[in-house]
Amino acid sequence: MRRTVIPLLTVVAIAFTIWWLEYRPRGGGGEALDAYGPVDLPPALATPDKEVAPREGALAPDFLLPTLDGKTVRLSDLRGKGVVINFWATWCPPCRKEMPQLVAAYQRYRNEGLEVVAVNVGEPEDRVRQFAEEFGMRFTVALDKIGAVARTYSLLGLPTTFFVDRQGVIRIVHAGAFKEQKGGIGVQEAIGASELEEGILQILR
Amino acid sequence: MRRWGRDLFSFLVGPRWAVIITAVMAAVALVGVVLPQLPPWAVGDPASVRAWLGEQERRLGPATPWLWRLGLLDVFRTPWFAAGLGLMVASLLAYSLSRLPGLYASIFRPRKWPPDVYFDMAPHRVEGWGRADVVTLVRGLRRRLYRVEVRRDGSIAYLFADRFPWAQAGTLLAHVAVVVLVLAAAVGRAEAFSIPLMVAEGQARPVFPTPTHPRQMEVEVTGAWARFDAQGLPLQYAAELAIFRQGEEVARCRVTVNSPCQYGGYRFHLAAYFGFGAEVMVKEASSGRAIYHETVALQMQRPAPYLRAWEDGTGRLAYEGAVALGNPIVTAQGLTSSLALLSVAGRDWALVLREGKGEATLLIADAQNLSRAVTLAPGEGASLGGVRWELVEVQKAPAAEVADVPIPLGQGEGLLLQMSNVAYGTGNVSQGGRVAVAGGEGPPTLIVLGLGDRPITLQPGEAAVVGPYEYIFLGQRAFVGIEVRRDPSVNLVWAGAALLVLSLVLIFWLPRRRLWARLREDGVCIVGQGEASMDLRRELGPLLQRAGVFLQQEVEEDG
Repeated sequence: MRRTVIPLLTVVAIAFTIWWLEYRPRGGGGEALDAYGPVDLPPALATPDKEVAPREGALAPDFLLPTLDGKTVRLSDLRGKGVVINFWATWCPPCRKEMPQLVAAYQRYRNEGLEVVAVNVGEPEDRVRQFAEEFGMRFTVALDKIGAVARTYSLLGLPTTFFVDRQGVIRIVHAGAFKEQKGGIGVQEAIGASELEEGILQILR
Repeated sequence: MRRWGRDLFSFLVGPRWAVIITAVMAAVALVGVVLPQLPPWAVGDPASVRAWLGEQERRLGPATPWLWRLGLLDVFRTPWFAAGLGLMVASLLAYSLSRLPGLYASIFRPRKWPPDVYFDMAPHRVEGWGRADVVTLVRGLRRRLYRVEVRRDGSIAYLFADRFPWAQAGTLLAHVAVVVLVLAAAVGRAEAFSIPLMVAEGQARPVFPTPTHPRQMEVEVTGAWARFDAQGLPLQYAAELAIFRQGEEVARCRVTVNSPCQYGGYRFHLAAYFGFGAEVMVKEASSGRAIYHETVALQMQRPAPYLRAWEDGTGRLAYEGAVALGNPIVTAQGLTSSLALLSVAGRDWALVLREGKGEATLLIADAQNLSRAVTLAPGEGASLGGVRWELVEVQKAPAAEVADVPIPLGQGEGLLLQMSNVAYGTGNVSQGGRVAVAGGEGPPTLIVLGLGDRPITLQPGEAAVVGPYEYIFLGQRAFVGIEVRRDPSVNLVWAGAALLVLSLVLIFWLPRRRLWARLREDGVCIVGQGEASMDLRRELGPLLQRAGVFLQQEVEEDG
């Protein structure tokens, strides 16, 4: 009996030690406390029949982030407008490629209630500012330096775009760059045939 | 309690348990080798794990979630593998510890004065006649680094001589080394990783594929340099890196091939250098907004005839440079022809470079009258239409076809970019390829084909407006290959290797000996203990003779 129990107890003791050292739940996060990041949706804006989640048909998770112009942006403050939330980075080639489309789309539809929030993930402000100035990004450029909002939105890669309607519901989640019309046409003309415009029209209804 | 402890100990050092645990761990390791395992860069990042499992489902099918739940797709990080490894290490350690008491006694409390019968029965002994001079014998042994003690029992003298007794610890060290190396292998298998990045000067790249990785960092190349010899072979290259984490710069360093940058347990090695990149920006001419900004790697090598042309009448040099040719047309005979239009001395000329069977010729024709033409081989010259032409040589210029550049309506679907006047360099320095100088002196020149019927030549900072777009050549940029590595097992491997080398030195190199000698009036008997191949007669014969002993044949017995 002893010759069986002792080995079993040994196995349990070693396994417990390893679990304690490696896998036990640790209190507190590894990230520094920050006023910015995901925030709770104001109760007045939450609807009982819809959950808050980063997927089509759900209410878009709310967030508060600093912007390039020194202000802040809170997603729930844009309720009543169609919002395109575009997660991007300057090192991401498809992000660079589609940015002119977003710039042109914002110019075309801003007076119809379109807002674009370009959330830059994890980059220094100087680099983002230089890129934004070069590409004439006149819409809101938010800085998600520690990636907390990106994690809340369960990003698998960049760019990822969420089309949020006037009621705050995510209508479309688009991963990757938008397809544009090929064949030597100008950027402005590309808008008429692209996935981006289709998404914008859907959230502006 | 002591009985339980003893039972545990005897269980751990038992051979049956050793066989079982070794077999189980070997089987588990085989599973970890056969099935795909979660890569280290995905550990701790749920998004990366989801993406990776999605890929594996295409190979492993519907069993993937079950394999994941059982831990078979991340074997080396499961608790049960860690437990098994812990037990195996415990068993090895227990076995090593079990030898400690005997080893300690043997090293520090040897039996110095065995009974007389030992001298008659021990293996490895040498006997001799004569009355040995004890002083001579002791002195000789001490000169041979033995620690010697003498005891007298009447007329008989007994000697105990010991040399390097602590070398016996070599086998223990070897066991410990094995334990350390096993741990190093497990740690390295679970935690080590290496990711290659190719980054252009002035640009950044993330280390991990998913942007939300908890250990995400970015590497920015703020400068790159290379030095080449006269033949274009690289002598050295270096780069300056800036490391960013969560949007803040955390490290900045200059790296070479042998001098990596280190931050947060990660090492950033310089692995490659490619000198031919062109930073190009395209703007909307009306608004000044950028719509394209990329550094293009000019990885192709295109033929570029280097021409000189003088006006016959004045002798003025009207043209000198490498010509960018259009895409080649391949004939049925395997010959290629590439065309270009060139304006020299106020007239247009058509150029056709024909290549095949190791030869190249350049046909130069008056674009207004194609029947007026000359054909030149490299090094040849001829006059045509008031211009004296010389084909200096056919060079290879770095080039690339770019499909996603904005192009005005009515043009083609892509551009050909070719760089001229580049310094000696290689297509890929780390592989030792070569690209001869294309062009001549002066700053690098970017030739753009595909915007109209003439090539556009831009020097760094220059721009050209074509239709609604402005094309700007911002300059030549280098690409740098960075390898990001992390291996927490490195120190363990060094420690294990050092222990192993030390143990081998102790076991095989140090001449450990233990001698017992009985010196009587009529003769001497010396018994020795050491490695099986020791030869006491050869080792001690001369010393014994000097001490006045005549040797018998050395006696060796089995067992």
